Amino acid sequence: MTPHDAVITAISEANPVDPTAQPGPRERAGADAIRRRVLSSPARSRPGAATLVPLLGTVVVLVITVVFLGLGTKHRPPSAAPRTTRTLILQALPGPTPVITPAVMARELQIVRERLSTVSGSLYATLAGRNRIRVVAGRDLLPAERERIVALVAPSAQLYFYDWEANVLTPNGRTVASQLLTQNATALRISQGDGYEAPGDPGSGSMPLYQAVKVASKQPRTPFSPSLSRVGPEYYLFGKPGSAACATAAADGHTPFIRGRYCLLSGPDEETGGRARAQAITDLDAGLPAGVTSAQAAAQGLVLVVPQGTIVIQAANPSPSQQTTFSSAAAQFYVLKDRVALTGEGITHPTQSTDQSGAPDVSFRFTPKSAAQFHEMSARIARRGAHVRPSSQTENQHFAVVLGGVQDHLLTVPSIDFRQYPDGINASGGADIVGGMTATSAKDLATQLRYGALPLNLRALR
Amino acid sequence: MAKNVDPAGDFEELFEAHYWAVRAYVLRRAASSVVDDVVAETFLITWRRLGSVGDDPLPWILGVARRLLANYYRAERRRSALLVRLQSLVGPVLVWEAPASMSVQLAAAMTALSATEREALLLVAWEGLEPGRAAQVAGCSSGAFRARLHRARQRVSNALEQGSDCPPHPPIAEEA
Repeated sequence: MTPHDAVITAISEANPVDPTAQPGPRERAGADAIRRRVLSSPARSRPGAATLVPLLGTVVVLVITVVFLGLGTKHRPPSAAPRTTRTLILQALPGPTPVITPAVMARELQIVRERLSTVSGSLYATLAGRNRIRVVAGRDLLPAERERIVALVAPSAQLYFYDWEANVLTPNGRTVASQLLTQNATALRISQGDGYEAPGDPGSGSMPLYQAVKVASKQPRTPFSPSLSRVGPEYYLFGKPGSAACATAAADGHTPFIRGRYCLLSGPDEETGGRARAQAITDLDAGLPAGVTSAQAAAQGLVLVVPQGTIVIQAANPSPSQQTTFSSAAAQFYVLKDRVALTGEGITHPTQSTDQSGAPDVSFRFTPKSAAQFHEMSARIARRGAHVRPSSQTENQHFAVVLGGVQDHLLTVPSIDFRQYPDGINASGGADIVGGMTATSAKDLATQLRYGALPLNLRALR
Repeated sequence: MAKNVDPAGDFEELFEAHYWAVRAYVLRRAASSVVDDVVAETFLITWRRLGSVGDDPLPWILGVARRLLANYYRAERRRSALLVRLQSLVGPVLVWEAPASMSVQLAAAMTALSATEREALLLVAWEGLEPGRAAQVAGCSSGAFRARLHRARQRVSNALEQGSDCPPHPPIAEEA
C-alpha cells in the first residue's frame, strides 16, 4: 500500500455515513415521499402548464382507456379443463421494504430460492426484468400445485402482532375496544366469538371482502409511523353484482358465482411510488382473471381504495379442512387499524411440530427485545380485560397474529387471561401458533419464518 | 438513458439505482435538517432534465447535488453575521467541519486543503468514485481532477508524516 492509498483509506474509515448501512423505515418513507413529490411535478420537456391543464383530464381518461382496452385481446376464454403451466411470474411490490432496488430484488430472489428448495421437484427461480421473478418447473404444474408454490413463496411471511380489540373495527368504523363498555353486540361478537366460532374465525363478526374494503375505504388516512405494516394506499377492483365479469371470474377461479354480491376481479395492489394511481390501475389490469377483458373490467368494475393506516385481513382458518382462498366468494374478512405492536423480525428458531393433541403447529422463540415488546402488549391487553369485564362474566381480551403479504391473513387470535396474567405474559420461553393448519401448511409456515421475511411483497400474475 | 419512451419509468429506475448514494453524498456535507430538501431538489432537476442525463447518471446527479449544496452554503453565509464578517475579510467562504469520527491529525490536514482539493479526496474516499467519474461531479476535466487529487493526497500525506505534535488548525474560511 502506498502512502497515498493510506490517505484514502484513512479518510474512508472516517466516513460519517456508513455506505453498507441499510436504511430504516423512516428513511425509506422519506425516499418514497421525495419520489412522489418529484414525479407529481411536470417535466420541463412536456407542454407548459397552461396548455397541459385543460388537456389533463383527456390524457388521464385516454391512459386509463388504453390500460383497459389495449390488452383486451391477450385474455384467453375460460376453459373447463384445468390449465397446466411450467412458468410462474411473480411481480414484486413494495412491502416491508418500500423501494425496489436491484439489491433488494437479489435478496428477494435468494429467499424465494431457499423456500423453493424445500419443495420436491425441479423448480428454479430467476429474475425477469427489474421487478419480477420467474419460477420455472421441470414439468407441467396442475393448478393445485401452482397454488401451493404461490402460497409458499409469495407471502412476505412477516408476522405482525396486533392488540386485537384495540384495532379491529366493527362495520360502523369504530374499534371494538371503544364499544365494549357499552356492550355493543357486534363488538362483543368480534371480541368474544359467537359461542361456536372463536374470535378471528369466519362468522365471529367478520364480513365479506367487498363490505370489509368498503368499511376500510372510509377510514381516514393516517400519517406515516413506524408501527404501520403498509405504507401507502391499497387498490381493489371489484366486479358489480351479477355482472358477466363476476361470472367469468368465478368460472376461472373454480369458485361459486353468487349473483347478488360484488366479486373481487383483481387486487389488492399497492401504489408503487411516483406513478402511483396509474401504475396501480395498470397492475390491477394485469391481475384480471382469464377471460375477463379490460373493457369488461372498465364497464363492470369498481375500484375501491383503502388508505394508509387501515388493513383488510382474511379471517383465520378455523380448521385444516376449511381452507378458503382470498378471492373466494366464501372468504371472510376483518378490518383493522394498522398499529403493529411487534413484528416477526424478532422471531427465532421456527420449527414445525405438533401440539399436545397431535395437531400440527409452529413453535418459535423471541429475541429478548421482542419478548419485552410482547410482554408489554400482553400486559396492556390484560389490564383492559380487567377493566371491561361485566360483573358476572369473564371477557378476556386478545392479540392477533397476522401473516403479511399482498393478501394479509389472520393466523390466530389468542386470548390473554387477565386473572392468570394480570401483568402480562413472559414470552422468553417462546410461543406456538396452533390450530387451522395441516402438516404441509405448518411446514410451509415454518419454512417461511426460518428463511426470513421477503423484503418485498410478491403477487402471482395470471 | 433511453429517450423519453417512458420518462417516468426511466426516472424511477434512475431513482431506485441512485437515491441512496445521492442522499449519502448530501448527508456527508450538509446539516441533516436540509438533507431531504437538497435531495428532493436534486431529483427534481434530474426529472426535469432527464434528456440531459448521460449513460452514467450518478456523476451527473451528484454534480447537480454539488451545485445545490454550494447554493445552500451561499444562502447560509448570507444568514450568518459571523461569516459575513469573515467574508468581508477573505471573500466568499465555505467552512468545512470534519466528522467526529476523523482523527485530529487527519481532520487538521483535510481542513488545511482547499475546498476543491478536499472535495476531490472525499469523492474518491467517501463516494467511492473512480477519478474519471469524480471529475464529472467536480465539473472539471479528468486530467485536472487527477492532478488535484494527487496534490491533495500528497499534502495530506505530508501533514500526517509530520507527526502529531502540531496543534490542529481551527476551521479555516476559504474559497468556495
